[in-house]
Amino acid sequence: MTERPHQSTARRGRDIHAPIWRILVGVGIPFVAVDLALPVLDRVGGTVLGFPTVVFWLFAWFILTSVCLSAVWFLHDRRRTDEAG
Amino acid sequence: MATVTFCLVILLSLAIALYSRRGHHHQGSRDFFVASGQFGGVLLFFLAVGETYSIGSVLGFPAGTFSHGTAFIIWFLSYIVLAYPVGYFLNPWIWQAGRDHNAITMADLFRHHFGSRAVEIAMALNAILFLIPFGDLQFTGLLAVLQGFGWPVPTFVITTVAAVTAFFWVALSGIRAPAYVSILKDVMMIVAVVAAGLAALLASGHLPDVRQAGQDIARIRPTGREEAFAMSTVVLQAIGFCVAPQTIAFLFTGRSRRIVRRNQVLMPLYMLMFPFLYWVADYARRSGMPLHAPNDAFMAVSLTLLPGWVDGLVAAACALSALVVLAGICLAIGPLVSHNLLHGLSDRQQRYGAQIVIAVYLLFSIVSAAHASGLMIKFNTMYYFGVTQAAPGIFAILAARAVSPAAVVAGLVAGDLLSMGLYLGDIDLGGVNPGLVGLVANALVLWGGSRLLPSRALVPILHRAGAQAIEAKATKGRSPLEPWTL
Repeated sequence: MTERPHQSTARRGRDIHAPIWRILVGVGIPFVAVDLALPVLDRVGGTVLGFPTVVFWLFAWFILTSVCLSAVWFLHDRRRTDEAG
Repeated sequence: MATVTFCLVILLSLAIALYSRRGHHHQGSRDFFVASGQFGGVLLFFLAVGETYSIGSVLGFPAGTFSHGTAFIIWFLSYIVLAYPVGYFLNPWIWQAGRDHNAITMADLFRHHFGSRAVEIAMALNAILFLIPFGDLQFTGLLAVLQGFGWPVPTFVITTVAAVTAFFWVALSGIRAPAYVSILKDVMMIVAVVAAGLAALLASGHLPDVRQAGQDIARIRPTGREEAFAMSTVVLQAIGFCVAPQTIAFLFTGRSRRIVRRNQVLMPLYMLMFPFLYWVADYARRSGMPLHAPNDAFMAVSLTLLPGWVDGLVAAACALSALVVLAGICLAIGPLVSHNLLHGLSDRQQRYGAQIVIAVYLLFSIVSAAHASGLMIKFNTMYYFGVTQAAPGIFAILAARAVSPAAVVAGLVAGDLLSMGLYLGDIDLGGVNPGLVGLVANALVLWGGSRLLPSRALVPILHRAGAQAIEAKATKGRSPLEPWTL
């Protein structure tokens, strides 16, 4: 037996456009670039600035991940009124 | 000179721990364990990163790079960097759940949300079991650092002094002490890592190019199985990083959901210390310096290339890394016993009970480190197998409307047993991390069990917050921005 309380709240939630781009930019891009790209990058030889290419790529994503999260924060989440403090 | 510098830094850390007590002489258990949820962005940031980058990072990354090259680097760095985006979306809602339920520990979330003592006990026992090896690990790292100095002091004296220091911090002001000392620890650690890395980089210019001999790190390539292991481990540990019991306890110290979220934006930048640690490992490997064990790489390079007084700073930074993490783990385990497992204690009894648990835990860790138990090494490897199994339950708290408490426990047990069984039985699934297999099984059992077993009607945290925001909109006429989305 299951009940689904607050159906109206949930339905109203779905009615408002959920900004899927936040998830795509914040998690999707770093995940593809860091995890899914590993098999490809592993096969790239050579070095960049003295680091193996795949290692340099990961180091670059320390900054780029922060850039992705900054984009989500400044373009959307900074203006959220439900997160006081 | 190095010894004097080292002792001065440790004394400074004790002074900071004393300072952290200022204005909080009569702490209740909530203030002792989670600072009454009063930490602002700076303290929460330093507590989070301070507890993330332990002595295991400073010694372990150069050691792993030295031994296993890129095969080690890709999974070690990838999971940490991806944990921050996961935390950006997940952590604010875990914080919200904690605030809604007035939680001190992760197990509190389960007890209050599901109204089930059995779920609380299962989650507390799971957390304690997989946190136990952390103390051993910190003491082992500490000994590796201090033995590099060649001090004529028995190892049990070193570990005992370290344990007393960690206990002193915790007893003084609870979570505030490691949070404040984390600021010193992180500044020191960055200075030490940058100094050692730059010294190694400069010294590397004088080394013969041995790349033709295949000795450099770039040439140690991962196999297909290692790639599968890395990719699956990254997913498992990026999630596990966010739902680890100590991480959740630290989130509860934050003042607001906004602070928790905003901090995640900057955290990946802290990882810029890893290129410096890479240079240390590269130097150790290419110079062919003799090492007793790969764990000695960082200290050996520092002792070889840096002046004596800087060596003292480096060792002090490593020691503080171990002690801060040790104190944090103690404060995670203490209330899991005195608050969750032992019900009915008064507020004062919970606090003192936790201190007894912490003292016993430190004693156990000293003995364990002295005996270099193979069991502890196995448990340490399985850390993420176990702590990540809380994730399906956490997601259910945040988003599911009908969940069976029995299914939560069954999922947890299934996930633990399957992942540990695969690992201990040496069963290879093409390199896929056993913990991830266990996590999938856990989620399936929770989902299936909740459909088959009687389930409680629940209001997920995301919908509660949504309802609150709609109410706020109705009363204030302001438009909230999709509060029910992650």
